[in-house]
Amino acid sequence: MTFKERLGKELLFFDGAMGTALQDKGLTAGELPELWNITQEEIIFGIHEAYLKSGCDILKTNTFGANRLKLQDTEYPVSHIISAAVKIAKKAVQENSGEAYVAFDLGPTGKLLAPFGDLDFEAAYEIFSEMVIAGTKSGADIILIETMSDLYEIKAALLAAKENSNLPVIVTFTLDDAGKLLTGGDILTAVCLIESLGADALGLNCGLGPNQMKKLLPELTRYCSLPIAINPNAGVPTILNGKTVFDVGPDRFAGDMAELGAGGAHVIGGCCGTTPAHIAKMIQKCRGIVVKPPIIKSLTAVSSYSKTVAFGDGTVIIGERLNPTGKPRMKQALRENDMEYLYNEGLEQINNGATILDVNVGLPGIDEPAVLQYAVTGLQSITDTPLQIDTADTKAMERALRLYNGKPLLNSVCGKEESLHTVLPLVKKYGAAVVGLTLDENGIPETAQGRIEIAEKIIKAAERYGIHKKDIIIDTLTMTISTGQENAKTTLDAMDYIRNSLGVHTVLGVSNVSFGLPEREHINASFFTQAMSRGLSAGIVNPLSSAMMNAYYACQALSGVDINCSRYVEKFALKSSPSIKKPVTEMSLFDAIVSGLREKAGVCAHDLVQEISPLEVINRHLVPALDEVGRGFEQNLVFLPQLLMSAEAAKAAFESIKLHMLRQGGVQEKKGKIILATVKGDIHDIGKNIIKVLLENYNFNVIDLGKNVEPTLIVETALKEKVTLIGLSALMTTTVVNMEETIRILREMVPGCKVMVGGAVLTQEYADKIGADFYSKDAMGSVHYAEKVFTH
Amino acid sequence: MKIQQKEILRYLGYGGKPADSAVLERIDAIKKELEACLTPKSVYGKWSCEVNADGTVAIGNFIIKSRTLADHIKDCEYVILLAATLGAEADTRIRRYSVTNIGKAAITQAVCTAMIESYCDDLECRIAGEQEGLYLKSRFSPGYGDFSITHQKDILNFLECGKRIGITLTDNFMMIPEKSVTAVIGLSKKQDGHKGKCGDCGNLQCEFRKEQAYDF
Repeated sequence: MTFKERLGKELLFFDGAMGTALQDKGLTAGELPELWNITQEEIIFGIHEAYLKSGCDILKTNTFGANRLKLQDTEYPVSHIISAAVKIAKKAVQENSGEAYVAFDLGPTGKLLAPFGDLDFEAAYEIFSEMVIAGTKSGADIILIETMSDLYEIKAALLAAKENSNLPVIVTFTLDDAGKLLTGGDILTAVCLIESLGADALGLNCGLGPNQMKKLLPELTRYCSLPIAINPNAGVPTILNGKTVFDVGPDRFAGDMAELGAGGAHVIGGCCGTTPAHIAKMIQKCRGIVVKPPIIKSLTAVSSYSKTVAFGDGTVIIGERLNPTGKPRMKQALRENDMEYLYNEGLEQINNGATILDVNVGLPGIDEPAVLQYAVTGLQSITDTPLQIDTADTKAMERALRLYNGKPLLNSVCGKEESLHTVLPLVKKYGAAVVGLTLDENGIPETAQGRIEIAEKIIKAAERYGIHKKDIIIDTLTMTISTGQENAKTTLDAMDYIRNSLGVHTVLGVSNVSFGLPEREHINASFFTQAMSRGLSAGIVNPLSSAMMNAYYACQALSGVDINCSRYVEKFALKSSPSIKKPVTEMSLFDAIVSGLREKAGVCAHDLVQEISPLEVINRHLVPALDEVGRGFEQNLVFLPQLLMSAEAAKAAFESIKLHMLRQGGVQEKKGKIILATVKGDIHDIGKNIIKVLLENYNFNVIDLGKNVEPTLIVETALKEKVTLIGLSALMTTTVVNMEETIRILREMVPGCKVMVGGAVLTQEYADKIGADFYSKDAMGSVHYAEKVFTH
Repeated sequence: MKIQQKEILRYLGYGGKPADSAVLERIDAIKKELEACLTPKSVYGKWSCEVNADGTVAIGNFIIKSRTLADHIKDCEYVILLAATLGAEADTRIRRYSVTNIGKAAITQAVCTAMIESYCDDLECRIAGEQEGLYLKSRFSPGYGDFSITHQKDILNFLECGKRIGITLTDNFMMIPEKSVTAVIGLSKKQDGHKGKCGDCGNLQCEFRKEQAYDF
């Protein structure tokens, strides 16, 4: 029988630790264990043989760190090391009964993926692909992705395995004693992602001993539909006189492993600290255990890198506001690449109760694949709220699905043949859940029955692509009642049937129902209430609308989902319902900014701009206030937190001015274009972000290229946008060299541009040495220099 | 863990001057928020070491060429290698506030820095309690004096920080999560009482240098 045929039906046994055995044989700390496949072949062979003799079914190859990053300083290519390692394991199997499988072992890169770290997702994918190809070609039977603590890295490795090999794939990850991944995810989130990307088994290894893993197993079996693999350490490691030691001996290990085997695990073995004696005892103790077959679960869930939203209990609130349709300010932000505006809109929706954010950046003339990618990865770097990727552009769709960190929700597929056959393969490949719209080549059916039929068609087509119906969420499409009074009922009847008779989750965008009517919120909230009472799984709504959210909280309380009405009480007790704040007119804009009062500054600017021109507001009120605070800062009377509170207040004032200009159809003239970037290799950017806010306050047009920026991107942007002032920041001695290099290239390619620099390790002397035009010693320095550059 | 208010203000550039009540209130709120959401983690271990006259320190086959470190731990036969981190959530919050409210970001950044230092101070106390007849020198981190920052890599490897507490390095030897510390702590038979955390550092121009550091 093949491994796949046996997996999940009988208890299978992995071997134990490789690293621990190597250290016993003299491997020193810091030495690369994978080189021993070449230099100490017989030792590796001996370790495999000892495990085979202890009775294991699966050997792990000595390839945990055989990736190009770790091997880069050696003379051996990745494929060479891997083929040697697989060969040794296969030889050991052949010479000992010939009945064990060889699992090609693949560990983490050792780097953190962007945007948190500096390894791009696609670079990680390439690293893993190279390994997978070599492992498969060398004749391994299984791919084991192990000791993973970052779900994003698991995604890169799993995609690499699935796209470059047909071998069965097992993924095991490492949890801390609180049952969390080091990047914050929990078991449910890990299970969701790993299952959706098509692994054949999943589970835990390393980090913890068998006793702790025993406590985590019930949670795994609760959510997991796949066979479960468990490779614990021989206890929790401690370092004693320079040596890592483990406290669980073979007998105790075997006892705990037997409980794991009886409790729902299907493949068991050992990680760090385990020896052939542990494995032999384990197998002796576990022979004869009948495994519990894995049970297919039907939980509908989507996730971010650390948080899962499950459908079923109550209604999920999907924030609708990240969408330019009918929103001039959002359109402007997208056209100006002002992602900060988008991020703030996203975070505000989360603060007001959104549990998923819909992200749609579709706008004529925009590079949608690039902007969507930027928006999705950017949002994911500041929030763990799952996203709904909303686009009709297949290229944008694929790129966003691929780079999304977690199990994505895609909006949408519809009943058209073309849509089914382009979208569903992507849904399958990237393990997404998908919204299915009940429309097809003939448009939106007028009857509930017609929409139900399209829903059934989508569900069937998905099934043919291997997509379970739990991953489909049907939208029966809200139509406006002003054009047909039956419309609301039709939508709800179809939704009700699909949810309650087909057992498929449903979603509705709500606000369309009231189009063309006055006081639309009354209709919207009432329609939303009706939909929720008939089983709506998720609503795409505006969480900033108190009418909608009040309806939501009330419904959750009425349906009993909100246990003891505690959320309702928390929301409304002691609080009068939020009303629009009356403008505070007693305080001037100048005072509001100087005092760092954000809301007041926004209101003051809003009032002021009705009376005098925007430019006057800026020049006569806003800038003088900032100057006042800036002077105080330079005289050591005002300190950084106050300076920045004032800057935030000025920013709020600017936002009011911008909104006013948009309504008037004008665009605010700005003073001059400035590029800001944290240099290549440097990922600390708070200094740069502070400068950005201040320069924008002074009405400069800042092009923020972010952190870890390639010199070529700075050059290209400077040339394309005709920028004459560039601000660079670097925080470390190791990255100041990249600042020097960036300046050198700028001098060559963009003669005439000025460069100002700043950052903790810089001094005037150093700035001079690397050829900068200006060294900004503090936050205000760059403002003064910019003023100087653009006024002469 | 007691996060030092004085340190937070020092990182925010107050240089010993008092902060007004609005700022203090914000600091307090952020302290509470971070204490509730962050779980600092650490790994450490004890190794025997050789401090050589040529300015090298050997910890097994890990050789550090650093005159300042060698001087700092010159009479030590053992060292503690230590790594600690506030975890990824600290970075995420700083990033988030950089977008929503830069003032809050700056304060969060300062509180986090003070917090990881306090956490390491507490760890030192714990470590000191575990040593019999040996006293701790002040912790010495890659980047101090001529102790090259590239040694971050060795310390992280030695302690298996990637999989145990989730610290990784960028190509330029920056640690992620950003609020992380690695250090070498000498264990000496003599009790010397350290000068204060930054008192041994040669960077006299450092804007964050503590006043008492000048006292030598």
